[in-house]
Amino acid sequence: MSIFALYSMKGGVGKTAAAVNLAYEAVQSGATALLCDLDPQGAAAFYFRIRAKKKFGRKRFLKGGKHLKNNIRGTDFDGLDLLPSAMSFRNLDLGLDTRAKNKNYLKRLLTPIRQEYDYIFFDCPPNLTLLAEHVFRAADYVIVPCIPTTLSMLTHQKLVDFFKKNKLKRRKLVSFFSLVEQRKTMHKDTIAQAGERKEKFLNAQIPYTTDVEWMGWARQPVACFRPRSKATQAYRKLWVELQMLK
Amino acid sequence: MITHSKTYVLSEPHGWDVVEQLAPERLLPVSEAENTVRYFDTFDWRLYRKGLVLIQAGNAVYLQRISDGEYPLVKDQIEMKQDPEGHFWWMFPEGELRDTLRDVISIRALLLRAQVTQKVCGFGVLNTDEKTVVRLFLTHTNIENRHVATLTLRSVRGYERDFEKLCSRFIKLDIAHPAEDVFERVMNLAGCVPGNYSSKLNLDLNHGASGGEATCEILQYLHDVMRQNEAGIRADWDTEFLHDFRVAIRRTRSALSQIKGVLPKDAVEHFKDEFRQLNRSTNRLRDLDVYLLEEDTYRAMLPQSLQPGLDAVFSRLKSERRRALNDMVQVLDKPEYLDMMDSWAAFLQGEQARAEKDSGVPAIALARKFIYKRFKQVLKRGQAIADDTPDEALHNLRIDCKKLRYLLEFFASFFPKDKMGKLIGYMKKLQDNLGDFNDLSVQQQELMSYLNEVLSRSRRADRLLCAAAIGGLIARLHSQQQVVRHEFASAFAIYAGKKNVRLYRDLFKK
Repeated sequence: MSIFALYSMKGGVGKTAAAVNLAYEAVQSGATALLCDLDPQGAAAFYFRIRAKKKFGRKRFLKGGKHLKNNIRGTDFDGLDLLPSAMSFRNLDLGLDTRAKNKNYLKRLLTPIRQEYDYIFFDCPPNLTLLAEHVFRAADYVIVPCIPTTLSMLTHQKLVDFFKKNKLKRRKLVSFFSLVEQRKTMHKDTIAQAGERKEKFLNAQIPYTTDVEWMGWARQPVACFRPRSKATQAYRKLWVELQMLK
Repeated sequence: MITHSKTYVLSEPHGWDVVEQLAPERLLPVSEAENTVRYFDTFDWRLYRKGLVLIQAGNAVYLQRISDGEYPLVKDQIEMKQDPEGHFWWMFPEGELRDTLRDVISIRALLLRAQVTQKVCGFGVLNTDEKTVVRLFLTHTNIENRHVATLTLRSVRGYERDFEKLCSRFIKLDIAHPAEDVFERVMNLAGCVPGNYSSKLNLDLNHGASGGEATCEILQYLHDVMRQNEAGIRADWDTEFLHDFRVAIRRTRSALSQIKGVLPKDAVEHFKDEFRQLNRSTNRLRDLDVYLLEEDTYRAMLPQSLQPGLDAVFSRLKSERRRALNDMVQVLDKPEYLDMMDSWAAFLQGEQARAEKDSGVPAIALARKFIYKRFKQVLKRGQAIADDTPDEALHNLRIDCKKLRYLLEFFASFFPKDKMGKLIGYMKKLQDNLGDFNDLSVQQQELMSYLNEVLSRSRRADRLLCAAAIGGLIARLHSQQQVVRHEFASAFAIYAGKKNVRLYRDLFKK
């Protein structure tokens, strides 16, 4: 059982797309996976055509146990389930602050469903709040999509520093380049520089393609409607690399 | 993953039309596959009795829970190119599947029980968001031109209400009935009845039966067991065919000698003699089977340094077993054996068997008489055994116990189940002790005679090593036997205790 959190301080870097496509890849070989949407935007649920039950929200989520279990819904793909988010998730921080004595609350919340799945994926909202700290402790790996630009790399460095300062395990933090456009010199240079600094980035890179944007129209993982797309191949490669992490 | 599923057998061979009637506007064909599906179980249906079946579909081999009866079940699936026919649990790759098989089938081999071709079409039923809320599987199963069509509805987690709605809509269509027993239907089409063989005596005698009727029914049952096991002995699928065959012989002989005054004397004498000879011809093979089954245990008894001595012992035993099996098969193929079995069956069916004077006495009265008498004898003989009594007495007591046990099993259906269960429980504990004692002494004798042979005849260089290994084993077995003997007194005290004696008195003393 491993938990992967798709996380970034910045928005629009391809967290949800990665979470949806990686979870899809994970169940292709017969494994079971749960995608846990923590982002109040609810984009993951949208991609899977799932609506959360009306009464489901922050409070039930934080109660855990059967309240959480009863709101898990199956996707169209065998073995892949989704725990949808709700608008009230925007205040998850407040709930965690009053409830949780320490920052392992989210981790404990998952205990009853852990043995049901081989993999759990978090799709996180883009900020560095208390929720993020809970996620860092609950996850085995924090997977960070990074656009190869100067500003993005700066943000990434801040995250690395945060890990150091808060005594979080540095090896949990795994990054990959996302929305890569090979024709842009800036992108090429940034990737090359990262390589020179020997920073830990995965080999697989997710290219900038409209196929990923079309997911919003197809409401499916990209592999289902563009099986030969570069994006499909890239996510597959990324999943192979993630499985080899130890 | 929490999902529910229901399977229905369609009353006529329907196809796509059923599915269309169910959910006309919102259907998505998802998959289509055709496969040869093979069902495996042991001869005595050990998997079936645990609600399981081993299935091979293409290269995939997996255990399926029969009650779920659904397609497809991916968990614990392994890839296997070989045919599992004749496989023992240890021939499977390590993992959960192998562990489950080890616990359930033990030393029995897997046999092919049915082979079908199956065409499965999968559909998704969609809601207004075009999200799959229920899965449908339309399955056409073919066995030699016979055909079953089933429809399985499977819920998607979180959409149970849609599943319930669809199920009730389907029942209203009235073209199918719920099928808990799709597995049994497939088996019946293939011409076999799951659970139709067990090594246990599952007799259900008529309560008003006369002594003659009941005795003939018991013996007929045992006759059938012998015949059912012949093929397995010939093919040498596993060792338990011979074992069950022998137990049936032993029970037959025991019934012949214990149920007195019911069958004509000269016939009893004749067949007792026949079965004694038949039993003798099975002894050697069974002994060898037992040693070879215990190979790992024997090896574990000896230190590493003496292990090589055992290699020679076991390779010899193996080649000897090949010869013994040959002899056994020859016995089964001989006209003498076949004629004997035929005349035995004819005798049991005929009038002659019911001609004796006690034949008309109610069987239940005879059962009470014989059981109580035997019980008293066991008590008397057991109480006479002290710590310094020769081993011989324990062997005799073991045989008495066995006779009593057989009587209890023959007539068990006449008496309340719970009480018989208790009786047999007490009996079993005592028998375990006596059985262990006997096994240990037989093994020592066997090793002793083998040791003499090694020392006198063998010229092999490793004969001293062999002798050392055997010597080590004998010493270990002897000390084990001492322990077992020491435990006899307490085992018997429980058996001869008030509770058990009262049970016998209430049930059988009239």
